Amino acid sequence: MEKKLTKLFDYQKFAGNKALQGIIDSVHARSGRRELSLDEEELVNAAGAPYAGQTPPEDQKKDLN
Amino acid sequence: MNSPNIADIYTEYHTKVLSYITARVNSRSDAEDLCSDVFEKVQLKLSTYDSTKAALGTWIYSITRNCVIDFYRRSRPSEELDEQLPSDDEVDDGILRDETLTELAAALSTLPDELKTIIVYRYYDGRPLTEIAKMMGLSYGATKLRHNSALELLRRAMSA
Repeated sequence: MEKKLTKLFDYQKFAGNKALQGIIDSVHARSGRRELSLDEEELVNAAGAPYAGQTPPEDQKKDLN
Repeated sequence: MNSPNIADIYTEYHTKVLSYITARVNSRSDAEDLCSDVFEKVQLKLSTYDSTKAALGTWIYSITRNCVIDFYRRSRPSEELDEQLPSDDEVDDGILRDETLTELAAALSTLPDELKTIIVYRYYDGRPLTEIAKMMGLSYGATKLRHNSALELLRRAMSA
């Protein structure tokens, strides 16, 4: 069974079956973990700031003024 | 697609190939280069494709997977290959079909969330059980037991 699951989940990364991807995405969403796309990874700066690409919270008040 | 041609194949499979490679390599430029390599190989080998032996999608998946393996062997010869990549003799025994993935989704949906999570973390994310145990706040022993329970439940659901 383990080999079968290994094969199927690897194939899923190619085939993108919607039903199975829905389950995978819901598991990741529940745990707050999600693989970043390459575009998103490029936005994460070296310090790993979670709001890369957006206005940092401490600067948002300044933007309002 | 009666006689597949490379243009139709590219249109239909480019996104799937790139998605698979992107999940395996960290660099966008490497992913795009590998994607080009895949379609070059598909074009070169298209005359040898035998539809009686494998579905076109499975055949292209096999070429894609092998390109990723070759990439790792060339660029990181000292590193162990990702243990999650099926070996050559394991790639296709008829289970690599959309129907089987749908069957797996149906079987997974019958599992409690905790067991579903272990399966996705272990077999999609490729995480070892020790890491999954820490992530879920469980002991290694408890995680292994739950993992084995999940496998048994899936085995029964998919053989029904």
